[in-house]
Amino acid sequence: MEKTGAGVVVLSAKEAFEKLEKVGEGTYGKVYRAREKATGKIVALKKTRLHEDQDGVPPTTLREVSILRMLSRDPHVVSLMDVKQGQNKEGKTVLYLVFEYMDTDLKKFIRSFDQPGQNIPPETIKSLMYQLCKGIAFCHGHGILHRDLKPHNLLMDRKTMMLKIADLGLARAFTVPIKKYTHEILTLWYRAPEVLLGATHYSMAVDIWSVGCIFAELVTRRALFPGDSELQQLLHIFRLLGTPNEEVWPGVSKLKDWHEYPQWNSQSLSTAVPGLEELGLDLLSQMLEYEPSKRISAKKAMEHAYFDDLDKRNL
Amino acid sequence: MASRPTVQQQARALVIQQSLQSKRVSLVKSFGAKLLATVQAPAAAENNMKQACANVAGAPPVAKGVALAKRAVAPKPGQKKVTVKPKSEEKKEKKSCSLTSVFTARSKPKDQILDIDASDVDNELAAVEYIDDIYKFYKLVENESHPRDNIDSQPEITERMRAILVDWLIQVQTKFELSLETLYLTINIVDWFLAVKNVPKRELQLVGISAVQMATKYEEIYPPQVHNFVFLSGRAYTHEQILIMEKIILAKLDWTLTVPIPLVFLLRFIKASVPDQELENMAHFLSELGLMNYATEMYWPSMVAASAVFAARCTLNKAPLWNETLKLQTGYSQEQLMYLKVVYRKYSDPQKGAVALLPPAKNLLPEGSSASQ
Repeated sequence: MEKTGAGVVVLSAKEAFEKLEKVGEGTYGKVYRAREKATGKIVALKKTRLHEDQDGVPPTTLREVSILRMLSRDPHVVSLMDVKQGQNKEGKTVLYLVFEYMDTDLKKFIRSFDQPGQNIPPETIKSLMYQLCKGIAFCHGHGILHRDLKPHNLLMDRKTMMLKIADLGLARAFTVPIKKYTHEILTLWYRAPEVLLGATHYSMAVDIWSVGCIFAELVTRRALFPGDSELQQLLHIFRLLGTPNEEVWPGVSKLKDWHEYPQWNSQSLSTAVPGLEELGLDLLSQMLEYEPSKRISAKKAMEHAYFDDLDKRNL
Repeated sequence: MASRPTVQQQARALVIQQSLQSKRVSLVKSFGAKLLATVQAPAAAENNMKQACANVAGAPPVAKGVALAKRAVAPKPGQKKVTVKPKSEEKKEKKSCSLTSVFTARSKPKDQILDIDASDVDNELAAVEYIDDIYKFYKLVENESHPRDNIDSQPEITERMRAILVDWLIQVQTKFELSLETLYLTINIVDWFLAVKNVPKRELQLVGISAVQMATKYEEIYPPQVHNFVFLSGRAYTHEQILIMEKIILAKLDWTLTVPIPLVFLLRFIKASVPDQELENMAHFLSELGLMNYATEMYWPSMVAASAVFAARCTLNKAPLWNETLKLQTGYSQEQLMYLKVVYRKYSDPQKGAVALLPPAKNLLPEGSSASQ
């Protein structure tokens, strides 16, 4: 317990919260479901160790907290309620990020439809996709790239079907024109081809590629491009969308990691994503455009005819 | 005949001159004082003045001391009010040519508003579809993104000490080849921290080191490790001290590092200025000069950036000095940026040594590049 100059008592994380159960583990620590003692409110505690012996606050934590401080006002971005410092048993400094609690994530939600022939209702897919596009448009409109969109990083409330973007550890604010950033981003399956091919400069289009992959996964309940290496990942993409060339993607052969690849012709998306309506396939094809500048933006995606029959009032 | 020194060389000479002079901080005291003095010799300045006076002969008089828009200069607590007494000559001589009329005369032609993003529609790195949203947002939150208090509240730290620290941080940025984003963010962190916490003199450099360390972690792909910063401080601070200070700063700043720094506005406003390399370099030079001066922290980041572009255009005699495109993109009219004129006049006064009229220090330029005018 700590007393500030104004006489306000500041409780440590241990004093303020009661841990209920471990719900996950990330790169820098564990995530717990916890109860705030003062209010009884259920929260998520993300625990991060600060490495005083190394380089202090990890860059991912620094960015995540700082970016969420700015983005948390949007209903489709997870709300960071507080940041608390504490100490573990060894006397090392521990940081607790206090988030609103969401009872599931999109990965678990997709897995819950595990019976053969048991599909996620099309209207649910449409609603989730609209919320995702809205959240990403909000990030991009505030100068933020997420860079790690995948079902596991999209939190959900089962009752309300509300979706929220989370885990901004790889996110970053960008200046315009967008400059050179690391290409060690994004989980392999959701990684855009320009990143896989070693582009030193990339844009908001990398997030849209991930959104497209998630869209297909919602429909089929399995990953669209499940590669187990960077090369295999590219080959998965090329098999479905055709091997790119200068005609369909000007400049592709000049990318750092471009080689001569097997030549495949593009397949119809409906073969890979059966059951998706015509307008959905059209939107998906625009999200999976090879040339980043031709890829649809989140802002434009929200206006796509696919969402015309969706009741957007509560989204 | 030796060629005329480039703007970059002259600008560099000014920086060298500052670091050599014992009172270098007073030289960078005013961002605006660098305005027209940076490159123009007094004769050239006088010439322009006469030319502009000729242009406006017979034109209706321009109101002096145009009030700045509230938004542009709303002072923070503790901001000192600057008043400039009109010179007696100005009162007597009705036809005397004020700098305002010079600026207005040079900006006369009404121009069309350019779509500065038209050529970037197919360039995804230009973020054309979101650019207006992004800058609307930056404008909305910029008031929260720069310190609200004055350095006067610091019992031990003076503006001069801060300027020396900033000068050193610029050297750090150069040494480690850090991005401009990192430099501007570092100084934003330092100033925010100085605004909310009293810092002992002996810890000022520690604050600077921890700030640059945080900024590199936020901005750079491969941030330097802490031991590099320990070495950089001449081992004045330990590894542990740097990381403890990092935690203190983050707690005090409530982890708010995602803020619109002047640089984000500067990049946009330079683009709106349809620049050549010379103008771009000059705007960056003047903006970084502004970092040295705590007084610029009293203005919105967008205004500091707009002023740097305006000052660069004045310095390089760009016509018009300001136009409708720049007004639209920056949100400031030429009149709102006129506080620069006040500073220029102030430092042209013999009582201030007329330093604004001094030519650049050609003898400090690299060998063989001094110009015969």
